[in-house]
Amino acid sequence: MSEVLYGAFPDITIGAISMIAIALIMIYLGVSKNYEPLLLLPIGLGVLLANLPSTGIADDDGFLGIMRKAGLDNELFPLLMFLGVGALTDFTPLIQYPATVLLGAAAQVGIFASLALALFIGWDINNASAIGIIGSADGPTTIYVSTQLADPDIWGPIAVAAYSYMALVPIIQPPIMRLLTTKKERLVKMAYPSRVTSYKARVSFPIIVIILASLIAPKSAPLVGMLMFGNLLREVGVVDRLAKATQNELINITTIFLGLTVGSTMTAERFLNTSTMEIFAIGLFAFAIATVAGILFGKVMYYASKGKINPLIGAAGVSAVPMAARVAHKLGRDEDPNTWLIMHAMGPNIAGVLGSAIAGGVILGTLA
Amino acid sequence: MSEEMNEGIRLAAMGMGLVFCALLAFMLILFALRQFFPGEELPSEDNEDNPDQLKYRNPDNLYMTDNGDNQMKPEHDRTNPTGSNKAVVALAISTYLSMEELDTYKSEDGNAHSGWSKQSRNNVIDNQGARPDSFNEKPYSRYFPQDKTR
Repeated sequence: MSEVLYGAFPDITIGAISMIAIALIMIYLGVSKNYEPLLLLPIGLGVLLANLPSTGIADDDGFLGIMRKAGLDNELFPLLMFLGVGALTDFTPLIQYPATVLLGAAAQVGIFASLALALFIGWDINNASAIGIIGSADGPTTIYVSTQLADPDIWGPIAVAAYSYMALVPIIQPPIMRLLTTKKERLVKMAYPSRVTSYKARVSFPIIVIILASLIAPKSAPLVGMLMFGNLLREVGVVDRLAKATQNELINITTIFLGLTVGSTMTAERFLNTSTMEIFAIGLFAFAIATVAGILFGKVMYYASKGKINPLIGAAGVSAVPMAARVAHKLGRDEDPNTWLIMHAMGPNIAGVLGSAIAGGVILGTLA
Repeated sequence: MSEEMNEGIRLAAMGMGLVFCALLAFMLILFALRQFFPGEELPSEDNEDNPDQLKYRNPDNLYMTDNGDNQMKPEHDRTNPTGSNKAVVALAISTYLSMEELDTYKSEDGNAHSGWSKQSRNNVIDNQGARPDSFNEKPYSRYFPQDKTR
């Protein structure tokens, strides 16, 4: 009777009001500030819907609960996202500059350093690993690993931390990059390739990577397999309809479902606690360490190549495609407007995606 | 040090090692792919022996004048500078040629008119004498607001 008279007003709590405020902030940041709007908007709306009292939307039999069981609990949505990401990714810069692959590996130090920090703070190893994977700066990988290892209570904060910091890469990275490089290093202009990438190389690469990555880290096979399958659809040139579908319809629909369902896990009782603050702090640490490691390895390559490699591109190894590559390019141009690093920075950037998928596979193989 | 901390450090060391090994293997494969399937040489006006070729391929030198000064620097990203540069030139030439194509009919004064004058005439007719829209500004309505139709 009271429900009929007063609606859901009597059930509203301070926690729910706080979460609604957080949801509105996310929507504001996505819409007005353009911070990862494709993700923050659906996640924000998922948070809003899940915290409106007495609706039951996020319960197991509510529509968000049904979506969560269908695609998040069984890791389906992140894999479909990776299929779309693969179809959108051009591996040409990697094939043009093979040596930059190692920069993508160096930046994965952020994952394992933050794992150690989380353990030190007192998290158990499964949750610590899921928090550490924020350092991969790769949304689907983060969600894929965390849904298999972490408590459901921290799925939401981990995903939001990952996407928030990915959006904040242009703010987090530049001070570290300037601090660790000299002006002379930032001014290095890298040579452009003399040949185009052959069709056979572009088609062979994804197939070889699927086989090799699955042999090295078997648990990375779903992630790497989907990523490379998407890329194969793009490169073969005979299935344009499938390539376009994965680049547009599939990834767009999955983004909506993934964002809403991740947001629906962020209820007041799960989100408003000190654990969330710790996850955000460790996530920031992970991004910073990944940038430091990438830059330092970039400096090693700078000296090894006798000044031919600009160490700024090392920061692009943290994934966050293509934002991190753009940041490296912009910093180079800030020093000298004639410096063009975008193509070179895309190499470690894409290698970072591969490296984080393998790191996730190694963690899952050890713990899951 | 607790058991979990030990396990975590072991996992971190093993994880980093495997990631490096995997990406090192990818790097070697990439070198091999480039070796086995070399792509075509990028088109260039310079021949292989010309030491200026590297300069030409470098996007910083795409807009060099004869005396080597950089005169013009475009603001957009040029991930494939050589190709995009030629594409822009080709597009500009194609547009120019299509506009310069003479009309098949002759006007009253007996002279043939190019596409430019035809387009200007069409613009005047289409605008019905209204002031043209300013760049990057909201267009002014050509209709009276009373009837609220567009």
